Amino acid sequence: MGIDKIKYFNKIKWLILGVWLVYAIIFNTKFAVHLPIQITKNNLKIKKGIAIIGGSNVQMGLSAELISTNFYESLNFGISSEKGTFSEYIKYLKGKVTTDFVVYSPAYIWSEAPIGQDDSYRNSFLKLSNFIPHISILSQIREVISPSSSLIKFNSFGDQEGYDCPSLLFSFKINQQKFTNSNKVIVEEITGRVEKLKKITGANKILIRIPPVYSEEDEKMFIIKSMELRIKALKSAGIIVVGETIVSSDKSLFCDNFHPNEKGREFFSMELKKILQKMKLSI
Amino acid sequence: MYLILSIPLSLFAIFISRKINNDIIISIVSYLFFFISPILTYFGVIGVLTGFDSIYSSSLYFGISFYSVNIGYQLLKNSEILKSNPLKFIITVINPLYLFTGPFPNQISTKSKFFNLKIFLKRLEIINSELILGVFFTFILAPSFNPLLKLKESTEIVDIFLFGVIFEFYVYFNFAGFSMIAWSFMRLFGISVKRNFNQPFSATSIVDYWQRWHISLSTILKELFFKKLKPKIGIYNSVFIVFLSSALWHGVTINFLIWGFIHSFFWCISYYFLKRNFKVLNYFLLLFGVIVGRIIFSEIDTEILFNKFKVLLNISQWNFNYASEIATNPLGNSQTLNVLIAILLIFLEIILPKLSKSYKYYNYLRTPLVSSLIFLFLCFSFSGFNTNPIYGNR
Repeated sequence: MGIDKIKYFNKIKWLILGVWLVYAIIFNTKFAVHLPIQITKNNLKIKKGIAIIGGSNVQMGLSAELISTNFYESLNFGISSEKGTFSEYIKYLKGKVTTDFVVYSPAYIWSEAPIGQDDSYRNSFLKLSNFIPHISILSQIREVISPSSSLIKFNSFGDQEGYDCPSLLFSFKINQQKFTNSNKVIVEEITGRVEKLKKITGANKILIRIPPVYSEEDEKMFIIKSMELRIKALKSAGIIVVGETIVSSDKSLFCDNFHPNEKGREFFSMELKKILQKMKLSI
Repeated sequence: MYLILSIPLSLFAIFISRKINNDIIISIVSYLFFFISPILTYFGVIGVLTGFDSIYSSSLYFGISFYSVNIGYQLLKNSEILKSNPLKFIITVINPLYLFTGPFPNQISTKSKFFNLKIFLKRLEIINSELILGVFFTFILAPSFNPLLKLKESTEIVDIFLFGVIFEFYVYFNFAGFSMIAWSFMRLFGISVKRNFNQPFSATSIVDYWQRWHISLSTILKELFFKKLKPKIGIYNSVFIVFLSSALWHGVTINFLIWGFIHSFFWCISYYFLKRNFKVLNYFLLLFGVIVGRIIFSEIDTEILFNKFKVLLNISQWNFNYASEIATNPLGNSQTLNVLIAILLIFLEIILPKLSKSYKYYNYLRTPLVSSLIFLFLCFSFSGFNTNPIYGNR
């Protein structure tokens, strides 16, 4: 009897797994709605002005509205997880960004190894992760019942409206040897991305901005020095790099070691604006 | 990459077992193996277990804290198998399944088995419920506590205690969950291994709690230190050495030394209470010990830790009139639901064994019906591998 019961419920479990697999397969096709963010950011288009692009460090950490005030029109095209899905991201940008001037703030610039080689033993795990839908079935059901309740909201400049900082603030850390050893690969990847962006947006000028990170005072100088070497390599490859504060030890500006909070967003946006103003752009 | 270190260390253990017949020397070498990870932690080669995302140093040292202890244990307990079946021993040591977070495979299987799909599927029929529970604990329940961990920053008395409770739950669901996943996979492949957790919140004393939490490490510490030392230095001193060794294995830092000292102290009081049947006192000591222990465990920064101690010990600094971070409810709808489920499970874990002793090793959550319901909820709320094993990788 006990064995029969186990077998019966195991059949139910296979059925549940089957439902989830069907959901995951559909989610991985072009019919799926991947990024809820894109729905609300789909209306953004820029022909003249400054397009600010990048990952969550742009989405959460920069305000195009502040930069636009008494300056050129700017729009925030930042979307979470841009670092690992750049090829998807440029598809999203196609047709939306046709301006001459782009500021690209890549999280990837802080990497210690090429994508997929960050942790070799986690590689297969990561590949499997790509198949797993990052939006659960329950969230999808909730979305059907109450549309847009779970979506992140953005203003007309593409800036995220209100967000919590749930995580703990840990100091940003690097492994100096790995970081320095990977400079060549990172520079090649960034250069390639800049070329692709030029092709897809038609932009003349693409500036690479270093996304600021939070680190404790004792490690700050060592991280700055390592990044300066990388910046030097990028500049040698013909990339224009901007970034005033690369590493900050001011806790009041950050949500976590890589994402500014609202105060930080204001601070770093104004900082970027000043740099752009100094450049005396003619857009 | 980790094989570069793990295989030579295993070979060295085999060499010792074959060439040395002196028990004392073998014991010393076993202890040296145990203390490899404290030494590496001391010199900053591998990270300290803070309980938050493990500090991962290099793939070369991946899992070293687990396999070095395992080698030491096997050398002491199973030196005959090391001599007669070295290949089995090496395979047991380098088995990657336990290197993320345990449990330690305490036995070396000497039966020569080839992979058999039929047997694998038979095992899957039974073991899937443990695997489902592990994934549910790890990827659904544990991450839901994440937003509440912000309380760590606070030095208000209520927040300090609340953080201790929440962090205990967070560590529990993450560590127990990953252990169940690893256990299930090892069992599926026929590797004999003890379960790492036996409903620790069902415990009625600190002594009982440590028999239910991280069981595989406790077994090793018992064999390596407790059994050897007890006849010579007595039970209380042996317990002190055991907890100190455990603390050093977690990290050579002030907070872990305090953690080891306090837990050994509480263990001894608890043992004294048990002998005199002071059940209520023992229960209060358990609650207090676990929460305070977890606060100490989490704080690697000695200055902040001592500040928290000052608040805990100085009643005049107790402030109940302030806006706690938790008051703003940083949890989303699904996280709130998950946290409520987690609290319900902990409640069941406390209550059910009081009603019947047959409730053990989460068997009430592994019945076909309950397991199917958990699996349904798991599949509907799963959104990826959104957490790391807090107890492993190093």
